[in-house]
Amino acid sequence: MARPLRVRFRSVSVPLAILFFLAAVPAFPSGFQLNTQGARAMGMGLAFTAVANDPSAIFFNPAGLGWQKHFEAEFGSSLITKTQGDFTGENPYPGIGNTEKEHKTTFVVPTLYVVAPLTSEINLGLGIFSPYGLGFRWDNAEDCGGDCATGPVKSTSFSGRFIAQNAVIQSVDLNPVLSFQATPAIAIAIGADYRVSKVQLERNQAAINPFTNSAVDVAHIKLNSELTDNHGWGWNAGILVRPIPQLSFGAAYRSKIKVDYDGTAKFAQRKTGNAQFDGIVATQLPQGSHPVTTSIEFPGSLNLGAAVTLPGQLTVSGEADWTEWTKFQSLDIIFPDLTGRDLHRQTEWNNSWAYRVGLEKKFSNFAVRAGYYRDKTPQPVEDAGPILADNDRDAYTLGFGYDTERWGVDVSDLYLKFKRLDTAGRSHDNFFGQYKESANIFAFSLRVSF
Amino acid sequence: MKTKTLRALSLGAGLALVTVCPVMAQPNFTKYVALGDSYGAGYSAGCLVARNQQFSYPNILAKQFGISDFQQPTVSDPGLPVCTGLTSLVPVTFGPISTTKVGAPTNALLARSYDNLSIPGAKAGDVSDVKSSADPPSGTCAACGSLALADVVLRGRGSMLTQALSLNPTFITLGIIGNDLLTAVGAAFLLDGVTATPLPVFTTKYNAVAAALKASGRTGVFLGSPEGLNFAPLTTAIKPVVTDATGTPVLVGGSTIPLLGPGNAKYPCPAGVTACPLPAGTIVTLGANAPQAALAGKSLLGVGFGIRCDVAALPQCGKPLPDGGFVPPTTVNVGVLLYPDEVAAIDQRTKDMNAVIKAAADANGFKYFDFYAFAQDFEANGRTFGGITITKNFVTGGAFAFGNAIHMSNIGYSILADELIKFINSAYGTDVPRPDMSEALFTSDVAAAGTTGIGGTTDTSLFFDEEAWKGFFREFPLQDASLKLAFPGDTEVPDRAPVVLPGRRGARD
Repeated sequence: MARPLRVRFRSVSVPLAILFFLAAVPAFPSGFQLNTQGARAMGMGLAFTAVANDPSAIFFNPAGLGWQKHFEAEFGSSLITKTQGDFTGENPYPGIGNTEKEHKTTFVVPTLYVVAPLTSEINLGLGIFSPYGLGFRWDNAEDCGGDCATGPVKSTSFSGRFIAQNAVIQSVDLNPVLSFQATPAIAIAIGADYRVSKVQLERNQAAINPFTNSAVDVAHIKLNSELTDNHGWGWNAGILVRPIPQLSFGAAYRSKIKVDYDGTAKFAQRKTGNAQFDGIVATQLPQGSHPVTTSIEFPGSLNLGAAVTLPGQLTVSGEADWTEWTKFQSLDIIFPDLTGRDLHRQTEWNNSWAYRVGLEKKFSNFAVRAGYYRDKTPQPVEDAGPILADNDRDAYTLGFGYDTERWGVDVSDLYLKFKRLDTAGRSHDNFFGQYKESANIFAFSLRVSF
Repeated sequence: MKTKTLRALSLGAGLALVTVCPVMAQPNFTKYVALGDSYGAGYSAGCLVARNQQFSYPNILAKQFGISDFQQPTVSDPGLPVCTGLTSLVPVTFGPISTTKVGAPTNALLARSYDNLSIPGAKAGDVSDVKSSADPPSGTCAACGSLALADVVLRGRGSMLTQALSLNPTFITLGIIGNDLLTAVGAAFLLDGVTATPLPVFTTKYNAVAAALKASGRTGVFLGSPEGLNFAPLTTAIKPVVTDATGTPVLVGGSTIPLLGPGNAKYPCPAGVTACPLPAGTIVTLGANAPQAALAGKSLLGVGFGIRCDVAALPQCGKPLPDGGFVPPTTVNVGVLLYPDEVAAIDQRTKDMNAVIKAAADANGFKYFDFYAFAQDFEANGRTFGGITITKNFVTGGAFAFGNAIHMSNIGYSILADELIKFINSAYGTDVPRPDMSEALFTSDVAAAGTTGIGGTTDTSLFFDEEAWKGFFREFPLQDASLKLAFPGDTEVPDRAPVVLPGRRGARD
């Protein structure tokens, strides 16, 4: 009789390398999908499914490994900087005149890809990357003028603090793949995708102070899951067809992965200054840590692309990416030992498409790249709020590469400009306002070949 | 001839289009006047006071309409009459916020009529008939009552209707939402002419007011009555079953224990039994929990009325809670039970009154706001703003005022104003901005330091004290001043036999 999966994989200690990757994962989301998994691809606007000519093909289209005939390793990283995250409130809540700022943080998202030829037709690859992540923290999330355990929370604190002050999804994928070059023109690949993940959510709880008939902060709630307890399995596959060397078509699929999270919830009381009311709150507030569970079904995705190399070593690529975000219909947070505290949030996301184009011009060992994509948000306006406020975005990229037979280096930069999001009259949280966001991502990768 | 025919056809077609596609009257918000009752006045914790009046729905509407000179009959702290505040949570105790001071009008010298002419306690007939707190003389008008705050609002300048028309408003709200029926809920029985305005009288009075308000170019909203029996704490704070000190139902064998009542014609107790379990759907009003002097400062429930002796061996255990009734010629026995048939009758009357209001709105070019539906939705779902949930729950829910069985808080009135604005925008195709809820949510509703004189002895009462109970009938008086109230504690409780005369009792009976 087979042992339960959880036990088997708990017995496999998570490599320290993964902890490194996880520690640096919080990221600027696309939905909360993160596709900037290679500097070369990013320079071409992530239109890389039909190109896939470096080890990052493990992420973009593993069939691309079919043409890679050497042992290669690529290490890289993206540095994501939220250059702007402003919120302007509207009536009825939090009200005209209210302004908030997303916390400016630089996130580091490392990647590691290794390719090892097994035969002249079969390659083995291993990728470690973070395809999903979310880091949404707000400035002035809670201001108590010092110690929040003793001092009341000021009304000037972040107005969305009763929905979320900090929302984090972290994930790391271990993705072994096998590619097979079936003919000189066709390669296929398949892989297994093992994902570890953790989530964190912090918010304050409001109550009506019956002595003043006004809303006050009575508790801070922090939900947190551990990395090693939460994982899921999926698979990926790809095909790359090059009928002639100058022309290629690619398709890559990555399956959905469901991760069930077990974590803890900690409740910390926030004093209001009224001893009677605080005493009543204390009797009703769960003490200490309590188990909490939730699950996220990360969506499957299908990328379809084509690339053509024109005379003068100018490559033009384009693709359309589909992501099955309808798998993310709700967020349910369950407190098994507490009654009346379960949270059910209707998310009702839609499937989304992204359209990308990229250019690469080679000059001997050098290459310059440029790209553009438009990414449609899967998040309905009604779901947008302090946990995540996503919207359609345009991205503009530039890149530069230097290649030799034994090593190569790529750098690129991406500027993300989000369409202004207005939730007026359409927020499930009744938290209305406009979000103005932009971000910059710088990426580099270093490749060695043996 | 052919040309004439074509012209005629064209004209006919044009007229047909006009008939089929009436142009929606566009509201003009430049001059807004509110006629109404306590809800319109922003009457909150048992008082009229400026810190609540600023959140009256008319004042919020005016602000959102962009009107800068909307005048109200503001009153200083500690309010008129003195406001109630929460003095203790353990036990839940309310009391006046001052025993040494009383509020005073702060806008009485305004040289014109107020824009908010809402008078707490006003019934349909009072809109046109009442000109002062002493008017009409007692017992002369079945539809009118003594409105203690009428002078504060009217200032001898004429009736609410007369003054409203003198302001020549372009937009009005008429919010007479329940005083014609609320006394029936408070006394726990519906008897026309005694605890409720007879529907024909209500209809006549309301229609006359509506017709008088009709004017070319004037638009507005008539508010219906809320679904009152499940909306306000008066009828929702007490469960019809035995509860412990925290309000949690006591279970015996996994089942709740119904309180006991005397039965009525529809739900009689078995022969020879004077107290039997309340049928499902019975409402127990807050009066059951009001401490009374005649009961040595304890409430009916506190001394055991309505509670089986095997559950709690209290002095009056095994005896029924009193039902309301009328004993001719003039005695109104105030009860605390609304049996399901009485609940249904009051609910049906609410619907009948709303039908009158809606018809009057339709007939005179105004829109009808379905407060009944809003109240039902609010009861079921409350409202959430940015993670802050507001419910109808007494004391802790946020929607109702301190210890008040009927009236809303600043937050509650702001929610009502928000609903009205959404309705106006939907009904008229306008784009009036919704109000800023954070103002009410984060504004502490307490008197400014030094305004209350707190420091003297404060009254302590549980939920709804005897004075508050009797005060309810001052605000929502019986239909005829010759009628006399008899509270359970005033008589040999509850051995009195409630007698309710069938049918309507006229004002001159």
